[in-house]
Amino acid sequence: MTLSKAQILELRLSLQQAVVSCSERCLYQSSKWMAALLSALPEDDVGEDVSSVGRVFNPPTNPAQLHLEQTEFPKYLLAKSLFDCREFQRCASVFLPRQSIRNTWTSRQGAVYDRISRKALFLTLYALLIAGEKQKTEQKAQVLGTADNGATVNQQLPDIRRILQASLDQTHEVAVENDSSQGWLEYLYGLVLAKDKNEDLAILWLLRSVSLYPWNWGAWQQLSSLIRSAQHLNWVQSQLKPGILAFIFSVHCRLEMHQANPTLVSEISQLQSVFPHSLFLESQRALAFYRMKDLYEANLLFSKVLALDPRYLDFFDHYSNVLYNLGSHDRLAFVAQLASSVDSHRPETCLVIGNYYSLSSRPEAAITSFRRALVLDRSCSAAWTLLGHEYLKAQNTHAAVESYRHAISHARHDYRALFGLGQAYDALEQPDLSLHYYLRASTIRPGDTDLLQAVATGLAAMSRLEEAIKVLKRALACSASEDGVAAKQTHAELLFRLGSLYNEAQNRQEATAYLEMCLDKALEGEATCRPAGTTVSAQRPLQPVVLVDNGPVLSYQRAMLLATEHLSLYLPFGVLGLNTDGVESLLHLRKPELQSMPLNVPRTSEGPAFLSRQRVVRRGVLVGLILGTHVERLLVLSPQRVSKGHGAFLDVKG
Amino acid sequence: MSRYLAPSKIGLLALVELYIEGAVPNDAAIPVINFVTSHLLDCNLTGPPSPAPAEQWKKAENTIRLAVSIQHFEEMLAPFAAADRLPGRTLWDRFLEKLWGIDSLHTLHEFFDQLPDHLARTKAELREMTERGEKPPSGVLLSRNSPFGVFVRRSHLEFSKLHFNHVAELWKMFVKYRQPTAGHWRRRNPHYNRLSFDSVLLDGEHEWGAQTDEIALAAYGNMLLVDDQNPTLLVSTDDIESLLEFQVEHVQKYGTRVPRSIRDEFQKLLKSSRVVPSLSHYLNFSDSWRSGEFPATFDHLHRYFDYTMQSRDRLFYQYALLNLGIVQSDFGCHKEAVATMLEAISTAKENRDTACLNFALNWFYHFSRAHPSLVKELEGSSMLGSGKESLAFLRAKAKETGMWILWSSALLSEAKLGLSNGESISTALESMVRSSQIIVEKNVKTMIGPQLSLSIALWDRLGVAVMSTMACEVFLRCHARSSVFDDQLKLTCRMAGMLADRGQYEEAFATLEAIDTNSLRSAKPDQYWRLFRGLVKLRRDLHHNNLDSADGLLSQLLQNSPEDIEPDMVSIIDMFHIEALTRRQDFETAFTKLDRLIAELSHENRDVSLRIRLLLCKVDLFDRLGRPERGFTIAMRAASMAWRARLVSLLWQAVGALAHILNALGEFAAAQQLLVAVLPRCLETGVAYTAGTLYSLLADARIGLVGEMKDRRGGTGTAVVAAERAERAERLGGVHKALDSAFGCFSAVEDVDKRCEMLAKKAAVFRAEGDLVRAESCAGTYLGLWEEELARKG
Repeated sequence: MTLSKAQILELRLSLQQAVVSCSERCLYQSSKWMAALLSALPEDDVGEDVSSVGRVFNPPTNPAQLHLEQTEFPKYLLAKSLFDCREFQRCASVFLPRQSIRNTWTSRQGAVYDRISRKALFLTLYALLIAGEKQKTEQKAQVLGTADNGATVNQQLPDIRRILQASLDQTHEVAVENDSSQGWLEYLYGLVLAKDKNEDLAILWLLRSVSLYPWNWGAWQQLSSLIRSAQHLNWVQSQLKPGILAFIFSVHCRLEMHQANPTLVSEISQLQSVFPHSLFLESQRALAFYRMKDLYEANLLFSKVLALDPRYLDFFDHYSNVLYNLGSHDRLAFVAQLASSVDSHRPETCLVIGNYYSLSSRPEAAITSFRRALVLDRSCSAAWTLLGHEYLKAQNTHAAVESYRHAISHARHDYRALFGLGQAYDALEQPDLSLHYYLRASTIRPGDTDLLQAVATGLAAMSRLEEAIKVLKRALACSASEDGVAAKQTHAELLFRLGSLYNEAQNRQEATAYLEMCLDKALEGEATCRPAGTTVSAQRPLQPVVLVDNGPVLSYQRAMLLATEHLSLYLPFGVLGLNTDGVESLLHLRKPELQSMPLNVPRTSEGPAFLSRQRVVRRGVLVGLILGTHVERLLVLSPQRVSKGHGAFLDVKG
Repeated sequence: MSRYLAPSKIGLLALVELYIEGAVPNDAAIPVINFVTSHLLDCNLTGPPSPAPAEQWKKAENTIRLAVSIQHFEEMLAPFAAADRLPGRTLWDRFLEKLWGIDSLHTLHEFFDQLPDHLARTKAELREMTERGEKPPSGVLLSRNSPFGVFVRRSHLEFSKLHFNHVAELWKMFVKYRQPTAGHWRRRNPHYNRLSFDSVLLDGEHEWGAQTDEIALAAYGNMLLVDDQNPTLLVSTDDIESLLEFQVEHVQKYGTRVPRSIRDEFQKLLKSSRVVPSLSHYLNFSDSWRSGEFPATFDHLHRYFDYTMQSRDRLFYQYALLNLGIVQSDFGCHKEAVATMLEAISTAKENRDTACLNFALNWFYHFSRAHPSLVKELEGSSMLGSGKESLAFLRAKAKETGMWILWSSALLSEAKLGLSNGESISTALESMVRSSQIIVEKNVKTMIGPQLSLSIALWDRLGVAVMSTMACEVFLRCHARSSVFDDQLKLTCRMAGMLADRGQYEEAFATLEAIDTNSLRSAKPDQYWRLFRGLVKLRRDLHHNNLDSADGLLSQLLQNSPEDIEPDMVSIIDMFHIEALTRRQDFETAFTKLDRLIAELSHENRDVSLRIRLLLCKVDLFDRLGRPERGFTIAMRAASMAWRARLVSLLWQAVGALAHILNALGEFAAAQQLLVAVLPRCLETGVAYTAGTLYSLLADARIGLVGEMKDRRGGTGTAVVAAERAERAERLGGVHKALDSAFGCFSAVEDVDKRCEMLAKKAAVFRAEGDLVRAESCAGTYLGLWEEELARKG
């Protein structure tokens, strides 16, 4: 995507106007974002156009509004200064004295807001809104305390809504093309409605706002947080006029909704050709790779952004997630240090620190950090999710559930929180609730095999085997499209899972078929890995062994039972086609190496993968199958654990 | 800033690890352990228990140096070879290897996380390990309650309590602390790179390229810049507090001020520590108190107690009042001090704080002795009672509560009271012996000073100069180091005074100059020292008849208001003033002053010795006026008083005065009898001037006797004449002997007037004998003396 010089100049002008307009209305974040985008434009064709400066500060405005603005200018300056000094109540009362808010209808001279410009009205109401938010946060008191629930609301909302309603009803002016005074009140109304949970209406008003004035990033962001699903997004997009911001919005939305794919990446590249220096786009690109589970690429990209601007903290939480999943301790510690020396009072900084502590297995410290992030920003959904994870790790399940609920209420597409909720309910032994959340999570990310497996497990636990098998087959189809060692392993695991499900469903024929496929897969993996010898990936097939070493005794008994079944089917040994060399090499792992291998399963990219009991069983069976004849060796590996199963295995042999 | 951890602590931990790993060779083991323990515990394995004044502040200096720079480690470690495979490697290299091994923030975390591995496992842990099938760890392990074990555990705990920001801060400061060793490390390690201090930056360099510096700057702040002038040092609150405690303890123990260099360094540390412990206000308080800065003292005292009062639940109000009272009296606000102290006493009673109550009462007793006029109205009305009663009360209380210092001090006060009232010496001695027993039994080192100074005073009274000199020497040689500086100063002055009595002025000055200059930075001791030096000088000037210089000194000395200095000193100055006046022949002024003093004394119930001294002065004045007989009753009174109080040295003076009057009355035989009996005892006192006076009186008496012989010359026979002549010659020989001895004594104290007088007398006697040559030579010596003295003045 390339733009002509004139287009770029126009874009530049619009962006400059937008920055000025946003900061005139004290929309700091939007103004910051737009300014960053502005400076991301290529610099080589900067025209020395002095006349544009005047136009930047005097965007085309409705003459009536312009007149009003000019007459109230001193008052406006006062209000703006007050807002900048965070004296919101006082700022609001500059244009709208307190009693006149209540008595708008009884006032003889008509509504107060008729006599002030739209800009002033926006500033006033926005200040009121912020004041209300501040009050609300204060009332909520402690994070996860008694008052920290949905019952605490912004007290100013009804007043603001009433005034906005009245004012917006009255304006029947014809929308002038590119009138910079329009669209803001609509945005504010959308914001208020969204806070009132009146989402459909909010979307309508936000759409109207962006169609009137597309250069307000806040409106786009608010809109993106209200999108429910992919279909919904398509509908919303159909209502939009095409434009550069609509394009960025679409990319951003899809990323938020976990729809990362190569097309999206290429779209981001297109945008980057327009804004070559945009850190935002670069980090969106990295985020896309992260969502696609390409951690190495994501890491590289994030690292590049870091090098471009070490003090740009906005993306640090994602970067720390990537580093967490890569297990890169020292880099994570360094990033945390960097963040805390740049600004230790940013939620992002706290998230990085919390992630570092979580990786160092210090859940208490991590919880403190995440809570600190929440004190700084209650609506930080990533912090809520991570807090939930940590609480789950610390086995404080109820707090975890509460945290996850907060996370979902702030970001409905956060499938990690949904997945975590499922796990929490799993731990509370409420399978139907857990299944519900697994399902919701998997609708957000339909192609995620881990989620599908969790769903299948939930279904199987409720004895809905047919559905479980269906889900697993879908997961199998998904995993088949991926490649890489890890994917292969998931594939083998899925096969095995299917086999055992069929077994449970008394369908022996299918069960053996899948188990055979599974063994083939496992041995294939073994075979491909053997030449590599010393690499880390070569040890992956050995992981099940370790898991057995770590699992509960119960799993051995069940593994043994299943193994008995299958071995009785396939005895003598040769029929199994088992390469004894392969088994030998499996067992060549000596004990110290076993100990040095990580005993817990590394957390998957989206959250801690807690080993549910069923998974251990499944792996146990795998090992039971492979190691059936080598129980003595297994004894060496883990004498106490296997001793119970030992007799049974010997029986089988006999 | 962290509570406990600082870069230097990491260094110490690394050293402990080296020690555990066996890298420390045998000959370095003791220095290393000594080094670590001296910084961890408040003890030193080597060196004498009570160090010389120069060494007293060494510990604070070392602590500061360790906190400020890594060089302290280098000095200690570099001389030792490492117990290692590689030749030529020193312990310092191993230590650096360890420090530079901590190459990122995460490694720092790991360094602290693995600390518990060095500890011996508890039983529960061992059981768990066997259950898991692990072998118990081998190698050197630290017992959990050993000094090193406690240090390691505490460090681990403190680290886990740190917030991330503080850990990052610690890491940055550690990098800064370690950086001076980069040059050394580069020589040993060829892979060294500019970014070696952080392995993440080193690894990221190929990824980030030229931007690496920018990233490093963002992460580390300005400290990486070469021209970073920020002198912030990371010291832990723990270091600051231990330094503070050390300083306060020293200040209280020795009563001196903190040396300038240490104070400056400490202020620098305190500035960078951001937290100011309340104890530092106390330190400031005592410092400004000693420097004599009145408003600052009050300000700091109030501030200290404002901070401590809230934070501790125990009531400290009485201590605040106590301190306030002492400070007020020290600065001369005696009335306020009385009020404050009374309030302190009642508060202490209310709060049942016996320790404070006893201390306050003891102080009050001493105060009332020093300023009887202020507490006079209290005596009758309050329950405090008179001096004796309150002392008995204090003694009983101190015994009950086991406050040895107070007990011994009460006993000493009792002895002193008895002595100054002129009561029985043996009772006083009994008290002193009891106090001495307590001091020896309980090893109350601080009380040795007062004990010995009292015994010196006692021997002085009894006129045994040898004993008092010995006691003085004993204190100065053996106990001065461990005692309060005030005692040291007083006894040194006392020693100088005794030397001056014997006429050894140069030695006296040398003794005074030998006092530690740092200790003299406190205002009060400095004033006392200057005063005393002035007194010795004044005495010498008076003896030399150098009246102009003496006037100059006196005018300075008399400016000291009696509220500022001790009453003893005031009386000494007064005596010198009178002497100077008499030497100037200004008898009238001298007499008025004397009368005023005597009148004052009779109002207040003051020390007997003072009164006797004044009486003797008066007798002397009468003598000078040429009417010695008028002083007879006074001299008799003085003698009897001195005898009763066993004020031996004064008694001899009184006897001398009496003999003078007898001489004047023509009772030469009686005078001679008295003087001959007294003289040997007087020589014992070591006061040369008195001895000289007595000798000269003896000569007068003997001359008088010779004259009597002439009067009663009755017989004319040659045998009789020959016998008379022989007797006369013998008597004149006695006169000469006495005059020679007197001359010797006076020349010892360098008194010109008296020496000349002796020479004149001698010449007169020679002339009377008809030995004109000798008379001439005496006159010659006389003139020589005068000229010498004139030359001295001119």
